[in-house]
Amino acid sequence: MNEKKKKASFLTTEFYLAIFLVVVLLLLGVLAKDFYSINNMMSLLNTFSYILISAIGMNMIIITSNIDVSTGALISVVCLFTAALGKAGVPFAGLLPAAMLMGAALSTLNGLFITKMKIPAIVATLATTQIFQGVLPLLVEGSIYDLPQSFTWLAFEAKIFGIIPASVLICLIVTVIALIFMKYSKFSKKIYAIGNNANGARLAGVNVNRTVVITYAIAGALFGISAIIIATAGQRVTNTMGTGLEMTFIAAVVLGGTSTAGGSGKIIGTVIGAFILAMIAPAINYLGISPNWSDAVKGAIIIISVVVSGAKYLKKKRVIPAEKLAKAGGEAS
Amino acid sequence: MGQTILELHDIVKTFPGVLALNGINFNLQGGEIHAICGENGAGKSTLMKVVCGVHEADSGTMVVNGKQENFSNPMEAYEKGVSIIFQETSLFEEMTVLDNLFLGHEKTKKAGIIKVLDYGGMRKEAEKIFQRLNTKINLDAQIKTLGMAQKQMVEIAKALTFDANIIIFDEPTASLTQREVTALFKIINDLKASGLGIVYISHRMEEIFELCDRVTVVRDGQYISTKNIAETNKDELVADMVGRKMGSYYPKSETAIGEEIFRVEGYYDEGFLENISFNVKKGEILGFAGLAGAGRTELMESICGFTGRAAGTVWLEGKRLHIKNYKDAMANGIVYVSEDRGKYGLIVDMSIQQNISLPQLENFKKGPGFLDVKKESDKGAEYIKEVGIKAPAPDFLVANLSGGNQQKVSVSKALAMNPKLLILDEPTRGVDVNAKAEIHKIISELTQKGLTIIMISSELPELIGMCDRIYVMKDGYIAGSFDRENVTQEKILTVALESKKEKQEG
Amino acid sequence: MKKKLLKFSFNKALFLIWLIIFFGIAIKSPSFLTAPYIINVMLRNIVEIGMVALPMTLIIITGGIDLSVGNTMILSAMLGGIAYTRWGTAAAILVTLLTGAACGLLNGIIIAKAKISAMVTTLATMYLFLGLARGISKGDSIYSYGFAEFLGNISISGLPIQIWLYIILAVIFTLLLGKSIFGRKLYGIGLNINATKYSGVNTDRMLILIYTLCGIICAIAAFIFLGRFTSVKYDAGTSFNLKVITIVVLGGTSIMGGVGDMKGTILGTLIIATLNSGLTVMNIPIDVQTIVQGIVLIIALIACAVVTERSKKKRIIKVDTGEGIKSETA
Repeated sequence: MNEKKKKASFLTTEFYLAIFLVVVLLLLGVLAKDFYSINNMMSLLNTFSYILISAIGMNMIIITSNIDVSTGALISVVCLFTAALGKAGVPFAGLLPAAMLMGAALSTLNGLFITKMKIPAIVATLATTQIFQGVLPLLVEGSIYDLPQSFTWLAFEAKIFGIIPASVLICLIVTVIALIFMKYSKFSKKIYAIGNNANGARLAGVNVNRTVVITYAIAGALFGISAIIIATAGQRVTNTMGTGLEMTFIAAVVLGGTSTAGGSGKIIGTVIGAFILAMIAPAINYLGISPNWSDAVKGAIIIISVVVSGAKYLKKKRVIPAEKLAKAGGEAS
Repeated sequence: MGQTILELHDIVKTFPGVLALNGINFNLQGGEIHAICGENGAGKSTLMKVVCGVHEADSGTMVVNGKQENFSNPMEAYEKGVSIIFQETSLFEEMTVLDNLFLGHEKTKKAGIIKVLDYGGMRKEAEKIFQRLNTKINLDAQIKTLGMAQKQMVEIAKALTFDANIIIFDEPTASLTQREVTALFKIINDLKASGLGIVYISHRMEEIFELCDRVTVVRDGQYISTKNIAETNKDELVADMVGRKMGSYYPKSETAIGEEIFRVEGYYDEGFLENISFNVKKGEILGFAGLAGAGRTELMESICGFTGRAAGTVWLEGKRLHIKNYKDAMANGIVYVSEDRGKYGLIVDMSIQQNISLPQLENFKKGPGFLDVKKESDKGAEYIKEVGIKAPAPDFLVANLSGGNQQKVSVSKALAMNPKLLILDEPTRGVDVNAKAEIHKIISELTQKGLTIIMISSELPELIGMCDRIYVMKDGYIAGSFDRENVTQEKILTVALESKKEKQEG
Repeated sequence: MKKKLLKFSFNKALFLIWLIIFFGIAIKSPSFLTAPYIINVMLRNIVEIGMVALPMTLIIITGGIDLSVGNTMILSAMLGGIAYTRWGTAAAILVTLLTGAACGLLNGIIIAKAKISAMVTTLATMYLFLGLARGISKGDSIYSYGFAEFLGNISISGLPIQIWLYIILAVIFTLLLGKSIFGRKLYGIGLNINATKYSGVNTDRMLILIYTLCGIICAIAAFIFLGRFTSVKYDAGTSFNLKVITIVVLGGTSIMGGVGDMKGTILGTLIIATLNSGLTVMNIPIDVQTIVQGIVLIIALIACAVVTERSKKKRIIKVDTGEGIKSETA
């Protein structure tokens, strides 16, 4: 039985992705040696960190069969919020929890719209995107600048062994907690159950609405952490720092094998997906291709990976005859 | 029989505008299997949903294991020992068997200061339960990889993880093969022997008489009767369910059978169908019997061009056909009515007339592609009258019709295409006794008008009552055929079952 | 029937909302209520978005979505502009339309044939089209040319040509969705794609068709967009996608598919156009306008949710009448 299980769980999307990643990394070693320079590696890891932290949150949301397209705008808001605190001299130890709280609060708003008002997630978050985006310039005009050293501490001073950015450590901690959480917590089972069959989950005693709202809150806290990493990278924080990032996060999750239909998906896939997305821009750069092509490559990689994994599924479908359940249509209850 | 473990008194439940249950009484004893039967919409499922906390009753009392209870959700019911196994499984397809068994009541253990899931403990208990059920299932398999029967085992195991002493089965055999049904009955009997009380909801008389100890009949949300199985018979139960004695079940009228109209030769589809040949004569009703999964639906869908990959030759009125898709089939006068109304047959959120016109919108064209709504409405009205659909107007939403009337819309949709050959797949599945008789009458009348019909059905009495000839399918090939004069249920079952055994032994 | 009635009342409500906004703004600032302002500011600024919202409605009716429309538009405009500098106007027109059609076709084929969800597909192609536009233009602006300027700026009998174009397209799409065989099939796909397939409708082809159609309309919008702004950069279409979807959803089309109509989309377009221009004329900063737009969308969504909830309740009562008929005859 154990052997069977191994065989079944061996050839997953994550596995193929990992192989793809290894091949690309080896090729880069041959074709673009500078890719492995310390500087590039460290900046890549920093990008990877904030993509992954948010993608883990997005993954949880997508597993519940919802989505969040407001993340970019939300991160922009949190960036400005923390910059305002930073300007007032609040140190990192205060900024981090503040960012997480702010992210969680805004994201909870999304969750409430979706559950209480019964609005499909994509349109609800579409609406909140506009609200977040509109609020931003009201908070500050353009940007907050001349931020003190205490604010940029994370990006410039907090280095592990003097070189590795501290964001990597944060990311590592978040990932390990997420892995444990998704495997060993009761809550994670509820998330998967809702994504599989919300009605069934309700019948099994899961408070679906509350679980979804909490999931959004957790994801929001993670978005807050990403925001802090993004915001502290310089002495100036503008009101477009997160613009468009939601698509990168969703892409990382989808690339990592999570179905947007919900109910399935693993953290480990998201890790690989996030790494591939973080890697594209520098890889292209070191291969001597114009950085203008990075988005096209990103798009092509996502299309190819979903079509290939979809094709696998189609094939499977062909051999297993569609199950035809007897359905007593027309009963009211 | 043991003591009473579940008692319902005067249960009343209303939905906005509907009185679903009106004073239902029921009691269940430990160590008995108690059937609840009634027509579709009689309130059986609603009653059980009240018992297990999906719905809350408006009034009435429920006593479970000696204590008065009122569950507000199924979890509460589970914890008090009441488990239900729903008609359509409520399992989580992407999750593993183990996750499903303990969902909502996972075992935890302490790891330092936090509580984590205790996979070891859950695994041990799950293994014990499957041992008790005498079934082997890979606990790490995803539900979507399991067959229907295995899924049901998981549901039963799930009930046992709660230490349930009352288990409710809601039409558990609807999608099982005969062999799986036999295995399921053994397990239900074992559970009964160990003192559990079983509520068994079913349409199928044969099953009720084979399995159950007592039977309670409900009709239109009202309690009708409770009887010992040993002291009643099928006719009596049907009379209770319908409220009057049923006359002839199957009004097959004698029709003149003409020349051969349709012939299939050497039909083959790898993995599904093997070397199938058959023919139909004008005005004939040709039946296809077989167990679930024998390939009957696959054969018909393949002939109609839904799969588009089979080999073999098909002749209609002496002309060889090359059907690439369903449109080709329809153009040649071959029309298929799916077994699954809600999923493939009808768009329930559209009106009757819109459903009827959908397959032949080109015939309702006005000008450069506009829709002739007047013509559509007339057509709808025509069929409401002709087929006897009980609806106030042709623009009435199909979702608001009863199952039987929905099926009549399905048939109308096919008839509106003026078919030469009509293929009906389980035409009376999920419709109540009255509607069933009406549909049989319609089928009979159609053949008198010269239409040729192929009918797939899992109900042998229906096939035997209605068909001129019956083919029996088995594992994708035709295992036997019978004429109307010399067919019996036993003969069909022998063919459908025995070759399976041979194959397994060989 | 009941559904139509409800739908109708939702459109009525939208119309009422529009009237209130329109006259509310007109009373506050009379300069709004002048023909040149309404034509040149209110209507011209929404034309491209409104135009693309028309085929987007078809797509959302089938239960799909297209997140790549803005990028399709920009890519078409850019390739057209580049073609103009090399081969002249005819080539520019051809290349623009072909690019739009090709982008839509790609979406349609992946969605219909590879069975990938529309959201994932168009999310990926959004990146792809954005990236292609960026790569091909090397990040530089592409400039307008004669034909695009003509479509972007010429007036015919007092109305800019693009508004005429919009009106023509709006009429065609309203008839297409509401009155034609084609439209009926789209509703069928949105309500139950399996049953539609089992009625002999080639659903794959239908899907490919509407996504391609959407791409072509994006290309037409591309001429106007380029002509109006005289130059475009690769990222000009990014916020466009969500704006188009906002309008369609505001118009009462359910994102789940099967419910909605073209009139709602047109009303949604008018509401957003009036809001944008009206708030501008009242000197309200653009950011507040974004917030207002978001709030209007949320209100519309809640209203729509309430309406569907009610219709569900109605349905249960209906079942009762159905049963009544049954027991009568039994």
